[in-house]
Amino acid sequence: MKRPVTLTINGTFHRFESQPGELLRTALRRLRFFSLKHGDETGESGSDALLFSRTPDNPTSYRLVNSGVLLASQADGASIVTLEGLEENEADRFNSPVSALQQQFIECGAIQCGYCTPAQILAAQDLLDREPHPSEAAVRTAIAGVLCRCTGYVKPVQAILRAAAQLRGESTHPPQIDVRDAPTTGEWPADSAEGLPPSNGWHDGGPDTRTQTQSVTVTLAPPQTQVVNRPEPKVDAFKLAKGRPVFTDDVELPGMLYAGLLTSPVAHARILSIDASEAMAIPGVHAVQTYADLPRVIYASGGQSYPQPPPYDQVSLDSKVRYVGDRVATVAAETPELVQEALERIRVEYEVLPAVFSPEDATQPGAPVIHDEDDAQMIHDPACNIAVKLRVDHNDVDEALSSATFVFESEYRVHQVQQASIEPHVVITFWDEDDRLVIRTSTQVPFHVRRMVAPLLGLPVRRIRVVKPRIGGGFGGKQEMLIEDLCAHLTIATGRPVKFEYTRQLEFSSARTRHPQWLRFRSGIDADGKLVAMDVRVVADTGAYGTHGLTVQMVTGFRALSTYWLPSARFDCDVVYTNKPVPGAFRGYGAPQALFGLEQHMEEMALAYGMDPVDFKRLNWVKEGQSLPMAIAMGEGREGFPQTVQSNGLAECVEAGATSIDWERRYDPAWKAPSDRPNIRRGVGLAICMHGTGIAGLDMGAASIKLNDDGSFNLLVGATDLGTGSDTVLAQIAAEALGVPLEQILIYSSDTDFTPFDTGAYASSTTYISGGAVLKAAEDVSLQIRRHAAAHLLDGADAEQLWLENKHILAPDGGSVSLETLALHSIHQEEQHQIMATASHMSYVSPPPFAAQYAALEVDTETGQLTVEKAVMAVDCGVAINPVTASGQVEGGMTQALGYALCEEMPYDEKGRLQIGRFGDYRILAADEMPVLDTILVQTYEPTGPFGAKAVAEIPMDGMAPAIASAIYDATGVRIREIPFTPERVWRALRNSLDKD
Amino acid sequence: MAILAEYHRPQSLSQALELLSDRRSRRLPLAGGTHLVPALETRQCREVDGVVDLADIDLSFIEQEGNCLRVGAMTTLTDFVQHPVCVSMAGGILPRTARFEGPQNLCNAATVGGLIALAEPDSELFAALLALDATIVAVSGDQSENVKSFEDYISSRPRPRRPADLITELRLPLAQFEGGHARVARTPSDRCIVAAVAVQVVIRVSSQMPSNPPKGVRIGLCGVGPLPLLAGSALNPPDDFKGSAKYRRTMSEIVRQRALACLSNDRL
Repeated sequence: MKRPVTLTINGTFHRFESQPGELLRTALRRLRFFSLKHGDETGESGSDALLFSRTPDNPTSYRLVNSGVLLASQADGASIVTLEGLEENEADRFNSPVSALQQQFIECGAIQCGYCTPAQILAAQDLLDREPHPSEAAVRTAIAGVLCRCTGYVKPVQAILRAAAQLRGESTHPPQIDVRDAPTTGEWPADSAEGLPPSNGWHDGGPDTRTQTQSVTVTLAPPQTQVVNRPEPKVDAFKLAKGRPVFTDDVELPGMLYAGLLTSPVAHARILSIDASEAMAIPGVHAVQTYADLPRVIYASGGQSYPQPPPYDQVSLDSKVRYVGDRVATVAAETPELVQEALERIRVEYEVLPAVFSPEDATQPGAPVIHDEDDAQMIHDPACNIAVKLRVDHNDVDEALSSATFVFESEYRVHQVQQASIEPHVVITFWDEDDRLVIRTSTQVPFHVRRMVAPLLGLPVRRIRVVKPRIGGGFGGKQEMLIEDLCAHLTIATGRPVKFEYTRQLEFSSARTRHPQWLRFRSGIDADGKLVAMDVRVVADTGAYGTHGLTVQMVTGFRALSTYWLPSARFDCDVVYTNKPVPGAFRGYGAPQALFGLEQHMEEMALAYGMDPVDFKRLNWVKEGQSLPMAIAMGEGREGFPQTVQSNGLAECVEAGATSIDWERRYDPAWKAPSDRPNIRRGVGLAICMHGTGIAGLDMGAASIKLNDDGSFNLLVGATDLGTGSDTVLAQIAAEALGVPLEQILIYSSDTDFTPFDTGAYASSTTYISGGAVLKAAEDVSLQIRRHAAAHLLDGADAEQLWLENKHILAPDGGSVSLETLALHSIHQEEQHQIMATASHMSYVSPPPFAAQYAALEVDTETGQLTVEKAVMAVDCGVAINPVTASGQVEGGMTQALGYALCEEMPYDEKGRLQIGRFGDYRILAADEMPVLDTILVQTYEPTGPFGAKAVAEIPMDGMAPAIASAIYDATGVRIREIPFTPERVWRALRNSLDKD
Repeated sequence: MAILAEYHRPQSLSQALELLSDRRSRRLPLAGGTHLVPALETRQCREVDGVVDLADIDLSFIEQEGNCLRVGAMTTLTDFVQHPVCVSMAGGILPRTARFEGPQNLCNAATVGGLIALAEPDSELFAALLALDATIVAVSGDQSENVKSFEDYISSRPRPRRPADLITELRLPLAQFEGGHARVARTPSDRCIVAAVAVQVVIRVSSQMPSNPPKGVRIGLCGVGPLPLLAGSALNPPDDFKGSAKYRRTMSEIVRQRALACLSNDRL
């Protein structure tokens, strides 16, 4: 029964009715305080934190608490402050004031996806109210309860310390990003020949959409840019700092129903019957859907280009379940409580089948067949549970190995982890006034979702609009058409808007994860230590469904066999079904698995052969001008295209990182074995990494640019900003090419009705591919502007000789006209037309970024506990379009990579039930336990990228685990070939080595 | 989703006890909510009709009474460990172990009574209270008060307490303590796999140094049983993904020794 609750919110008295079980967060969001975010049900994410007092007369009595672990009724009589109330003149939308904290969060780049930003700012405010001079440690403690999956906490901490200084009246400046140029290897492009407009550094051969790949031979200074390569604040930072309602869930539609999912409690079973009558009988329950209610359409859920890579082994709801957490039935009802009641009253009768939880067991003769349905397509060998088999040979590996001077073989194992974005998967579907289905969803791939969901719903693509608002992190987990189909089916069945949001428990059990793998490397070298062959065997676990199983493992093979140059190579891989939650895309996409094995294999081989591991790697790593032979054989689920490395700052990265980590300490016995702590050993480790930039010959992005009356521009892109800052980077590229400051570019992205196509945010492609499209569109618009100016406003000028700079069109003779004058003239006065262009871009090359990752750590030899003291990444990402967002990518990626190496884990019991269901048990690193992170951007100039850019988003994920393995070996002499390095695993390894001795 | 039919906020202890002892409805006491509300929300805790919020009962206090510190059960963990007496007690063992109860936003809501009622196996703060030889005051349905040592409290579990038994107070002895603490965890702020908290009453004979070897040392251990326990009692370690029973058993001895070593080093 509802009871009245009175509550002072941001100084205003509120009285509302609340169900006894309603959470304070739910009640406040119902009252449109949308800055409180749902991250989990158990309070560990802290994204719903607010300031709370039962004695508001005492202003120091406010405390930071989580509104998701308080009942609304508990707050009866209390006073609270949310981010919306932090600013006294919040209502002043004309002048848009920001507080010191908000300003510093914006300027320091502390906001990536922005989902945890409101809680972080409130936590910081709470600290600064009590302590105007906080130490860094105090800041980290204050925000430790607000988990962030994007930033690695470096920039939020910097922002809070600077806000404190600003509030004390001290002058502050944004933190410096360590950006260095590596001009000795990458050559800067030729600047413009005399008389021509300043070059943007772009090498494009004309009207087709392809990147041309001629190398540039003139060595000059880096291009002089006004907007690109500068630390511009993110274009979406302001609204995120304000906690404005910009995420999928931040809307209330009239008549909206809530959806829920019933999942399988058993790992493998046939559904004999489902009785939903009791659930349907509950007043307020509008739909229950089971396999019997939905059309059976076979699909593959990975968000990828048409045609989807096989296998096609899923249907929306099936009569068989294949893992604990698999989809059984959905419910739509008027409240979340009714949804829960209905789910609990659905009676399902299962015929439980034997289940297998490892590729070893799944491929035994007589193992239960997971995909025995007769309509699945393109499964390699369903009877043996092999989803995909990959075999790639480049020259004769066996011959090369048999004639090698030295052959080394080693095996590694990597485990399952989850993307764990703080915003769960969430989607809202509704019919619009034209009876078109609108899908508002937290996705990385809006255009793929529209194409993929259409046949499942029986709707033509034209009747579906997919909108991606701001999203709270993805990391690959949302490169999937995961729940849009289920939600849309409920809207179709009920005619009502429906919202479907995963709980954290569902995220762990029923979203996507990283593929576990077993890897065996066998390599041969000649007498000089040069690799002559490498043979890589991988057995990967794709869980119950194939989704990204083919392509992730192909990337594993490509990365394993391309980072070092190989005259001959073989990749032999089985991707196996098991009765486990499903791996999919996760930042790095097969590369972190490959490099965990590869980097240790190289180090072990060097030591076994008697070479310095770093020298050995340097001798063999791929050099500028070298081709990547595996690229042709291993495209993304199809034939690839030839690749030649045109920029490589790896040598500089290794050098810069070594200085930062103080590599020479590894030779200092006093540091390695501190005399006052006999159980401690210290070590330093290195891994090098190489990644890709987009998928060659496949990824395509498009952009439209339109000139407005005042000389500003609308930039419409299909590209999908997950919080990475891609909207900002794309706007910077447009601003640079159009000679205007960033504020003149109004970007709108990821709406299938209003923006041109883009494959989406994955494969480290957006800056390079979508950025290429933006640059082309901008150049087209620039030409249209210059032509109009030459024809009408700068008499006698040659359009080719004009250039755009500082919101003006300039002529070599000193003539000038403002963009605003030009815009008004072209729209209203003469030869009236809309200056506008659309361009597409794709690339047959995928220039690799390179990096060196270092870790310094201590090992407690009695307990096995590791403490990473410092992690360094020096990365060659080409020219960083925005050094702040680029370094933010590195810091956040390294933090996830540390979690992969140290503490994140998805353990199961013997029945395949996940043993973790909440943050905490699934440990992602908090602000107060981070090692020192150092990021160095070592810039090269990539001739095929916009303004010389390559990718940076995924490579931070790749090398941390092997760097830590290397550091453990340096510290203890013990090699651990399996992650995560939990205390017990390290302890056992140390003990085993003692036993052997 | 939390499905609750009733929410009560009694104004007195007797009202609360009455609500809780009424067998016609299944009710649970609600303190800070950081454990119960998630348990309701995730439906781990289902067989409940209502909650009895203790917020308006005067159980949030910290008072010194003789050689004892009385801490009301509704005192938040933050208020508790930041109290001047607690900050310095046994070399700061309370704030030090409280860090691992969770970040500030949870400790600002979680209560001392909740901590005791849950007695989570990896609660280092609970282990510290056990080592400090604190006592627990509870009131039963007939309003009779019973006082129990932590030792008796844990040895009487996991037998269910009578439903109407309500923890009202924690009593900490005030003496000169030294404290020692050691732990093993996946990450620096993670809840422990195993941990030990050692506490020793400093016996000063005139102006001499504390006695050596240490006497009267109490050690609370985490991660080696269904709830924290006193070193010396039989270990019954869990066997899970954070640590096997064998590992926990071996580590418990190492952390025990390290916690003891902290005592003699005077270094927490």
